[in-house]
Amino acid sequence: MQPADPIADYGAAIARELCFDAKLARRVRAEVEDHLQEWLATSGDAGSHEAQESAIRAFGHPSELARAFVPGALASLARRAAALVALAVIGIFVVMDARVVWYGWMQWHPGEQLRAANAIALPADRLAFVLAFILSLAALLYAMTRRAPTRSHASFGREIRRCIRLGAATLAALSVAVAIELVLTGIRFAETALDGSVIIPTLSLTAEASVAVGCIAYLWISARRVSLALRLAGE
Amino acid sequence: MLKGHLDMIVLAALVGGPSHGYGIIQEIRARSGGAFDLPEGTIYPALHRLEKGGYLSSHWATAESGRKRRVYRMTRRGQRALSDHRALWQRFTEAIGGLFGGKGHAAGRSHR
Repeated sequence: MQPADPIADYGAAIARELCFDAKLARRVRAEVEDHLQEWLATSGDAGSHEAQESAIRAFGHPSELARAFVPGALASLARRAAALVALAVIGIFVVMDARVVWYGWMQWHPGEQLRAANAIALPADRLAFVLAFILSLAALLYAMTRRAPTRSHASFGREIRRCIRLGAATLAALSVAVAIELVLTGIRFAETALDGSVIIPTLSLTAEASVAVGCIAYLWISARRVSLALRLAGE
Repeated sequence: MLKGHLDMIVLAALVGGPSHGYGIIQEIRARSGGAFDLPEGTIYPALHRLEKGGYLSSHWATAESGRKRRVYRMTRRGQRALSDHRALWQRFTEAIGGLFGGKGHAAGRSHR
């Protein structure tokens, strides 16, 4: 059985409270443990269990300390999520345009079935994409202009949730655009003899779908982390 | 008394050079003559906030004891903010001094 180490236990308790941000948890834990060890070393009573307990008491309750990190962590999280979503929109736009250029280069003209599908689906595709672009810009501007307060409060929590919702709305519109592209490309493939020229459109579509799915997963994880952090802050 | 001034107090404690959290607390305590005896836990959220704001930079170093330690250093932005705050504080103390001591601004008004 290992001897009790109150400082390590205290560090672990802080890291548990900061579970919404693993990197922050590791850093704060290391800083707090170093601080307490230094306190004990300079007090000349490093070996005493009572001295360790006293140093820990002076630091405060782990949840109280962790709560003070919530606003800064949430502001950063919202900015990262909004920036990632905006980058995904731009990236997918570039890939979609590159595919259109590829079709022209390959002189891969649409058949009758694709022309009929394009007439219905392309306006919806463009609308979904423009919507995704506007929403991503709004999410980015909103996230970048939020200032983290010293202490988290209800209105700040609402602002962060709004950032996540804007990101989710962006990804919903972007997913519609990518899904339409998938269907249209499927029709295009069905109309022509499949050869090596389908590799580029296939790869580009796979990349688009992967980026969209990756962003959805990232935003879902971010939303969970926001909930955990706001629960710690008592909201 | 400390409310709203903690960030500037932390910056002022780093004027002498880079330091770690424990060192900063000790510096504040020593330079304020024990008047600012901060609770140990308050320093880290302030340090992280100042770093995010660009007023501080930090890096990991190894202490003599072999422990990993985060060391903070004031940036140019931090120096500018501290200098601005110092000037503001100077004006404030002069104004308060004038009010309490009956000199300065008060003397100017008596000539009207």
